[in-house]
Amino acid sequence: MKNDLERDLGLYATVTISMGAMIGSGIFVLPALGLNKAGPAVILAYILAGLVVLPAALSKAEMATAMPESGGTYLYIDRAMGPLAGTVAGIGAWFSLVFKSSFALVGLGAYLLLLVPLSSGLVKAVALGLAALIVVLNVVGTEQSGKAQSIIVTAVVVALAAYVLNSGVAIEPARFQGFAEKGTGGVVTAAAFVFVSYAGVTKIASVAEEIEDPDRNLPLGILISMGVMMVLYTLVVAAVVGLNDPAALSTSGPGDGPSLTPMADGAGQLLGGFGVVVIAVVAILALTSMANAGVLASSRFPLAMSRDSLAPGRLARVSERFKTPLNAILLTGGLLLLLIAFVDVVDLAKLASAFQILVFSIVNVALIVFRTSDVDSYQPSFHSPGYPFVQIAGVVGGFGLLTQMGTLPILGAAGIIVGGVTWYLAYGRSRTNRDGALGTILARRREEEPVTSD
Amino acid sequence: MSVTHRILVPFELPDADEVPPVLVDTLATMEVVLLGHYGLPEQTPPSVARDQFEDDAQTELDGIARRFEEAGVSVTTRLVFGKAREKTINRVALEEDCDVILTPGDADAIAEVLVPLRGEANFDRILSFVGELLTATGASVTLFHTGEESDRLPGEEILADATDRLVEAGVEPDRISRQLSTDDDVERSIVDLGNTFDLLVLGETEPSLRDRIFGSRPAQVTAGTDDPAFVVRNVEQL
Repeated sequence: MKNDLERDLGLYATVTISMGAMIGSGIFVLPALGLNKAGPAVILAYILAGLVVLPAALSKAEMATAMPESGGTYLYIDRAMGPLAGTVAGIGAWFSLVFKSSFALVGLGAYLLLLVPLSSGLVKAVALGLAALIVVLNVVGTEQSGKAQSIIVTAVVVALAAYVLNSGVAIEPARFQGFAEKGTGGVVTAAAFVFVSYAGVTKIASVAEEIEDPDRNLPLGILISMGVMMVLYTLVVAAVVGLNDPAALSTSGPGDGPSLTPMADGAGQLLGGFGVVVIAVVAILALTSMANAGVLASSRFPLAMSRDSLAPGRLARVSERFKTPLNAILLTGGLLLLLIAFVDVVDLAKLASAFQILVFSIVNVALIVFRTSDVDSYQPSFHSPGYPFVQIAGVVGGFGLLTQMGTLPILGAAGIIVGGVTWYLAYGRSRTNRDGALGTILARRREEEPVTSD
Repeated sequence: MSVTHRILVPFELPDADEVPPVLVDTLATMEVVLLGHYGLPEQTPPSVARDQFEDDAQTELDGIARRFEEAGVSVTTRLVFGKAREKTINRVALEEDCDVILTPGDADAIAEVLVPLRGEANFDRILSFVGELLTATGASVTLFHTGEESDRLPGEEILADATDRLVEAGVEPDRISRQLSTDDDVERSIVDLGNTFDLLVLGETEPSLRDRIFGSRPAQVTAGTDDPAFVVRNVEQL
């Protein structure tokens, strides 16, 4: 059956897709939360986080060129290390994306309230309404709109550039004093916190099959989009820090928490009410797009696991009426609403990052497993440079960040592992008998042992 | 004429619109590729939808194919699950060596065929196809020149040349009429004229900058009319 995808995404399109997936809560909502942890040095945190994400992005890109099926992170880890690790990674990736989407929606609600005269105590109610709307949109089904995506990305980048340029005149250098006050620990904690800002880069992997000249454009697309975002994050965060009174940034949010709309606070300092409206509109566009893409992408995890017999078959059913995977979307949407309603905003962001760090670490391990096993079916067209040092650095860096996040995120990550293992033992184990590339390595070891023991 | 034509006929599954029987009859002497495109929203991975709906969709496509086979048409079927309909149509046309793509529409009878012509691109292939179409139907044809300055030859000459080709292909001269337009708005005049005809045959144009923004001319024309239209691809250019 000839149904290969056409390779028609050039380097520019690749970079835009990746940036479109990254721009969102990382820049519009997180800076004030990061500032709380690291002080003005939050700027360094964004760079550190980017460096730790990079190995996973490269690993995922390599595996994407070897496995054309859509399924992403879950699929690669399952095929590398078998269904047990697959279950843990699938649930972890699913949770991470849903947490990230709910955080984006709360931020979206906060920006929306800047435009309408309602009490800021209504943020969660507004976010719940928006979440329900996005779930309905995904159930009914949406057309692919690459054009809309690149227009939003361009608009956001232009707005951010203007913001940074204008802020040059209004920044108060005094606000950068105490840059190193909170020390290295603070920067690492903040880096772990804003880690999720770069998670979107792996979107490149999910369109890897459509990229022309992937050996060149895949790694370049990853490096360029991450490079641009690192610069953009750094400049924007520097502008936010320079424009705002730090005390106001860290207490003006709901319940006297950190501000959820730091960009607009900065714009107010700069251009008054008009600036706030412009930034709010841009933020709403970007965050809506992010939340929508998040629900769409996260519903793929239960779907893919169900097709591999790791979750009930019903989750892979496509609705006759809407032509969408209704059950997978409803399950994802249900979790989304629960998280927004019952989890504290700051914890949403923390847990999203923690789960993401966990999954990205496993992604790096998965690549090492594939390369070591040398299975015939693994024939990537792009090879991650710097193997295996880059991957090892990614794993070590990931766990390093994870340990700096405090009790809740570590418990959360441990909870995902325990929960994943339990679910696998209770449901998946009796229904699957594959063992992934890791099984090949172990089997080979067992064969070699009698020979070497002589 | 030695050129054989392969016609791509796309259907939007499930519950595809029926192709008018008279239109099927016009294809009797040609090879046809029936493309069932099962449209999906971006939420649904094609492989998942294929597993679930392939049997039903194939049954429907086979049913459509049977109607063509009964009319004596030689049929190949392709079933594609996906999102980008236009892209799929172009890709399959390329893979299956189809030089003509049918945009289905309503027709009770095929008596009058309109063929807008330009001087350069695709001239031979369009006329070869029209010749074959006319021998199969007995319809009459109006050759129409849109009077664009870009053509190397004057409109009269192009139409005269085209008439000769059709006569050579065995079409009686009294079934051929010519019309020269000086109107600037090419799409508009083709769409207006199209209302008095049953069927259109259009040449694919090279995409200009304008086309990339507003859509290609055949796409605009076929969107403006209910008549079925055959779009002859610019195969030599590819």
